[in-house]
Amino acid sequence: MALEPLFALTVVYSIITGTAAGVLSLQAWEILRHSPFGRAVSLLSLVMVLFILYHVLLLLFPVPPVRPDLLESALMTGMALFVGLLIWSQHRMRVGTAGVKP
Amino acid sequence: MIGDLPLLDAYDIVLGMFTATGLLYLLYSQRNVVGYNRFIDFLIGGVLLFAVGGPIADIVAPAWIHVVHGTAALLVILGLYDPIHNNLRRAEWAELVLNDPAVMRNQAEWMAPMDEEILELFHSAHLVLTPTIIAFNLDHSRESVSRRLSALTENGLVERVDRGKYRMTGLGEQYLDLYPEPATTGRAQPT
Repeated sequence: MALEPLFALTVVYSIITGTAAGVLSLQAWEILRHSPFGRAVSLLSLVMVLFILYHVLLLLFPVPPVRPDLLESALMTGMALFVGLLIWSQHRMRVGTAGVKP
Repeated sequence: MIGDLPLLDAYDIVLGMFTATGLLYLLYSQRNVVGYNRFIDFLIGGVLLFAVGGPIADIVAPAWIHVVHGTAALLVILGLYDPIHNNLRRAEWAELVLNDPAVMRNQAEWMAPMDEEILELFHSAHLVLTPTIIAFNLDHSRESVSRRLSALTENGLVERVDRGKYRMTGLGEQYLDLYPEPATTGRAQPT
């Protein structure tokens, strides 16, 4: 079963933008890894890798070996963790800039 | 199944709502903490589109879900490109922050630059120290170290365990642990 052209086009669009975002997130991690947001950016890189894999699987396998909705939920979980880490990092920064009072 | 909704779709929607709430909180509060609003807005917009738009598109218009995904990634690109290739490399503060996160600690008004050195020395030594020992290691006068120790004690970062003997408190450790070990610093390194 072949993919519909329009669907394949949207998947390719996701792969291209996802790859660019993945490369940039790796570069951002390289720069920010010693900063408070380093851990969050490293998780973003992992999520982007999963994002690319998910779309490549969809493109290569019309009937993917892994259930796409499972991968989607894994991506959602990764994004939620990324946001959680951002909030945590920001909280730590705020604690550090609040006058360091007990 | 929850009603007519598959379990994983319901999970995605709930997770998307939590993520969106977190992102809105970040949007609301980030302006007070970091200066680079524009790229963070794009980044948050991309994640928001992915977290909320993805599950909705999956239910309402499954054929367009990858357009939503791709556009979310595009916003992430816009959010990351500028700070990586322009602002972050150009901005003087960023270079300082990356080489010495202590700069980003944004010392409280009562703090002096020497306080960082004193705390770092306590942190590396894991010992009870006297003003004389600290002054010798940091190449400052004993009087100035004593003055700073009083201020640090008053604010809970250091405690006096005996007459003229001090050690760092948990709060002091927390202050230093806030950021990883600086890669390079211009500070006097404790011996």
